[in-house]
Amino acid sequence: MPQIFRHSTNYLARTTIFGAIFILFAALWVTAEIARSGWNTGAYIERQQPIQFSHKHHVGDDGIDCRYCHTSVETSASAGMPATAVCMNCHKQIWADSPYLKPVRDSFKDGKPLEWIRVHDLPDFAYFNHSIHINKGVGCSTCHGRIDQMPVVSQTQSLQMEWCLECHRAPENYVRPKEKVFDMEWRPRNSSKAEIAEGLDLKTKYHIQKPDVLTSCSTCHR
Amino acid sequence: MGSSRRFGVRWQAQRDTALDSVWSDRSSADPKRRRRFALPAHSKLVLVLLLLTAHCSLLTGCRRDMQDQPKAIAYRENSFYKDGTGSRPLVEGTVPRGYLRQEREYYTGKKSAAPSATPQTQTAATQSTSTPLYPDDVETIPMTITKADLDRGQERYNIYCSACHGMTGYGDGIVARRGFNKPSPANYHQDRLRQAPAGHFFDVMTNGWGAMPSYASQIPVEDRWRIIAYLRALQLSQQGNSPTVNDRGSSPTVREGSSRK
Ligand code: HEC
Ligand code: HEC
Ligand code: HEC
Ligand code: HEC
Ligand code: HEC
Ligand code: HEC
Repeated sequence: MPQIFRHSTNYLARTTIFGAIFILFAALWVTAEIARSGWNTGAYIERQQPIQFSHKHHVGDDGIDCRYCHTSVETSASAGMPATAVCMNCHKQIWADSPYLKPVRDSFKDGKPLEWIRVHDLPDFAYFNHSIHINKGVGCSTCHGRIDQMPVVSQTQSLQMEWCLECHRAPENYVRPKEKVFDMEWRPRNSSKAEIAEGLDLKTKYHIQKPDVLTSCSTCHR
Repeated sequence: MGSSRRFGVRWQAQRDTALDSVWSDRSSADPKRRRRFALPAHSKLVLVLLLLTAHCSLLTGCRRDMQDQPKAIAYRENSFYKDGTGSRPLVEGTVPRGYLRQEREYYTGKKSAAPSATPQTQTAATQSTSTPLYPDDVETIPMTITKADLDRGQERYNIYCSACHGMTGYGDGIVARRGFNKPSPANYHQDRLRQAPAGHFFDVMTNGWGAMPSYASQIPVEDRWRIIAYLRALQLSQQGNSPTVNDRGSSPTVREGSSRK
């Protein structure tokens, strides 16, 4: 029988087998990275809003508390979006004829609600609740980043299940004293030994449940 | 690409002999065509795996129906109702559970009996003049105030009022300094407001007062009373401290604060 394969083919065969494994893992890794990237999760994408509302102005420069506008953040699942009347509290007089505020004035006149573009959007099959987090010492900046420095809000975390679980498995790495929840300058996570020890103290003080409860599927998929 | 194709062709040559029977009719029809698409066996596996992984990344990238379910969610737009929102307003003439507000004094800050029927007890700070300016309003806070309530009052004051009235209540908050001063927010440290009954402050917060907006939608009733408790503490704390301020604030028609700007 004539020689079909040259000797070098052995090497080729071997490299393709190893290459295949390598390519496979590389592909899996790339997939995982893509799935976690901002392209997939929407993190760091700035959404242009119908009104150029700036948290940097209102929170950073003017020092208005989050709760002035996001009134229900301590008491309900949704943080709450300010009604047109809330903007008009101040803008009846401040910048009362600014063209940027025309949609607000129009909405105030004809009673049609303002329409904002959602930035953070969990899928509807996941249950999230602000009040429990706020009341157990998880700060806004841990999940939303430095809102007070954002002229346009963007998401700073992936909001994937993995991200929720990372904290639910070890909340002591993130919890802070309750009075600091709205403090934008407070560290977003505890990293040093002392900070984590403080986190552990707070965990017992606030009666935070055990990880097996917090990571049980029915906590978030109900 | 070129080299791998040649490589494929060679593998194909070997397979052809085994598969000839199966593929015979097609291969006899156009042997070239089959060969063009042929790939070595395990690279086919690799290809399938690659396609699978690519498929996975495509899947994670797309949003399916369960992601955005057609149900009403707070603040979401909703095409089911005419006004386009899923949050429904109260049906007229109905009272939600827990909102039956029978205690008039507590929920409106107004006296339940006819004015001046029963003279109410007063704190030292509110020794009233003979003809009260706000005869309908309750004199004192109709709930017991503890230290915790006072702290809560302070917190709520700083959230909702300090932007205009300032942390200490002189009417010089940042928003006032930025131009909310026609008229500027009231200075609490003036005689008229020191003597005003607690119910007046409740009325101002609930219904608004001149240029001052209503805060009824943002602050629950209980917190409004706590804010008033804190305002009283603030007024006491500033009493006598700064005589100039007392003088400035003594006339009820002059609104002070930041109008300097
Ligand atoms: C003056 C009112 C006001 C204040 C004060 C305010 N916000 Fe907002 N916030 C808004 C409005 C209006 C929007 C919607 C427009 C936008 O996304 O920029 C918004 C949007 C957001 C969003 C994005 C919501 C989404 O679509 O996912 C986050 C997160 C947020 N605010 C957090 C905060 C935090 C944290 C603070 C306090 C540090 C704060 N806000 C203070 C009015 C306010
Ligand atoms: C507590 C008072 C307050 C509230 C409530 C408030 N603003 Fe403002 N806003 C300000 C102040 C003060 C400025 C001016 C900021 C500066 O110049 O530093 C401003 C500026 C702005 C500007 C820029 C105007 C221009 O011409 O540059 C926009 C737009 C705006 N606000 C939108 C909103 C919207 C929308 C809301 C309601 C969600 C809102 N504001 C609620 C106080 C407020
Ligand atoms: C544990 C993480 C976490 C913390 C802490 C947190 N948020 Fe959020 N926030 C989220 C998530 C997740 C969403 C998206 C919710 C959804 O899509 O249903 C969100 C959405 C929002 C929205 C949009 C409206 C809504 O409720 O869907 C606003 C406004 C907001 N957050 C403000 C705040 C403010 C203000 C604070 C601090 C008091 C805060 N958040 C603290 C995770 C957090
Ligand atoms: C930075 C930390 C942190 C992150 C991130 C976080 N959580 Fe939590 N979560 C907590 C803590 C702390 C509690 C309070 C647990 C308790 O009360 O025992 C909590 C409680 C909850 C509860 C209520 C549990 C119960 O027993 O009722 C739900 C639901 C929840 N989280 C959902 C989510 C979801 C969904 C996400 C991701 C979008 C998320 N959380 C992200 C810290 C976090
Ligand atoms: C702390 C809250 C939390 C817990 C606990 C949790 N999940 Fe999730 N899960 C989420 C969130 C948030 C998402 C949406 C993630 C996203 O948008 O990428 C999600 C998404 C999913 C998805 C859909 C993934 C996709 O890409 O569509 C599945 C399946 C799922 N979870 C299964 C589970 C199972 C099984 C458990 C129990 C072992 C569990 N989850 C526990 C928060 C949670
Ligand atoms: C947007 C700015 C603004 C905010 C925020 C604000 N006020 Fe005022 N307030 C005013 C202005 C302006 C006046 C003067 C109204 C007038 O005389 O026309 C005023 C007047 C008052 C008065 C005096 C009424 C009188 O008899 O003359 C009281 C009391 C008062 N405010 C209480 C409060 C309380 C309590 C809060 C917090 C819940 C608050 N205000 C928040 C702007 C504000």
